[in-house]
Amino acid sequence: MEEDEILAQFKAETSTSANSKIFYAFSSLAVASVPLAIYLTIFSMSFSESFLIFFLVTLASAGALAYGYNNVATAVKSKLSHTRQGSITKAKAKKIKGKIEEQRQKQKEITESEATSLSILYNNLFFLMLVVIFAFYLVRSLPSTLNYIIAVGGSAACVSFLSTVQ
Amino acid sequence: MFKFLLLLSVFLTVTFCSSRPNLLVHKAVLTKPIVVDSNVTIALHVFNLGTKTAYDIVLEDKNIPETWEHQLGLQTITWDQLAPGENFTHVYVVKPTTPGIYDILPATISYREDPSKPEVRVGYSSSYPKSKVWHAGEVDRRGKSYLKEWALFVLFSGVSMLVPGFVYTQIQLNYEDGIPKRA
Repeated sequence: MEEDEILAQFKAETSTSANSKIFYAFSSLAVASVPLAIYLTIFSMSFSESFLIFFLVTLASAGALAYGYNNVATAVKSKLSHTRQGSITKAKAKKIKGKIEEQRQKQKEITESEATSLSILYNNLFFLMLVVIFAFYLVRSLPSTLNYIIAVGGSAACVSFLSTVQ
Repeated sequence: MFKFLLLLSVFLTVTFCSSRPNLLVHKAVLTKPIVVDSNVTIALHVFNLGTKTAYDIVLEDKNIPETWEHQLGLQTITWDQLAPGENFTHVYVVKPTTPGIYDILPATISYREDPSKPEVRVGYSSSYPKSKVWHAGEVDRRGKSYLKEWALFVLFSGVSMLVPGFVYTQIQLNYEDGIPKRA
């Protein structure tokens, strides 16, 4: 039974709620679209001519970013859960005026929110920094279309790859 | 400019020691920077640095890169004679169609020292190795500051980080280890 408990706990720590998944999807799509502001203005790319490339690269980058969010959030959540294990004792629960199980559930929700927000903040900052470095330094001499694909796609790929590193 | 002056000084030295015509051709790309699908003006300055007149001058410049299209002006011209100390300039226009790095090769000049004799002297102009043809818009991009565009990008980036940052800060302020601070 102890093994079942450990397995259940591991599953709880590594699973992602439906709300978090929806939040990841919207957030990653929004952030993957931010570099368009640079490419439509500074790089003078035409939206109508490059629509297909914008659509495909944004979608692929959003997918990679969402994967990165999930990995980092899971790692942070797992770390926080371990440190917060047993922090709700009977005495504390009495003080907060509620049942232990309710308080633990609430604590899990807060931990998940904390991990999700930190993951999104960290990955967004990393992604946008990489886009600027790629676009204006590493691949600046390439044509705009190739520059966009490598800068945005490459940055998202780097973020998702580095999110798997423990 | 330094290259041209050096060439000029060498030829001046040579001409003082010989009595013959000496034609120096300086090829200059007048349009800078060179941008794809924009006209480029090429000038050929011919100087007679010798002490005698040069006759039956033929100036030919067909050594332009393959992807550059000829627009205006002749690439081969003839001149009857050029007296010592005289010079002339010929200009023509081309248009590069693809970006990249190109070698603009020298033009060829041939002339006679004596119009009655068949011997022809051949010379070459200066060249422009490794000339860059820029993408359209790339030159503009290098010069502009794009403050408004950067401000827009920073605004969108800020919003994408502000929202999760606000949520995280609120949790840190109101909770400790996932438990409300104010019980």
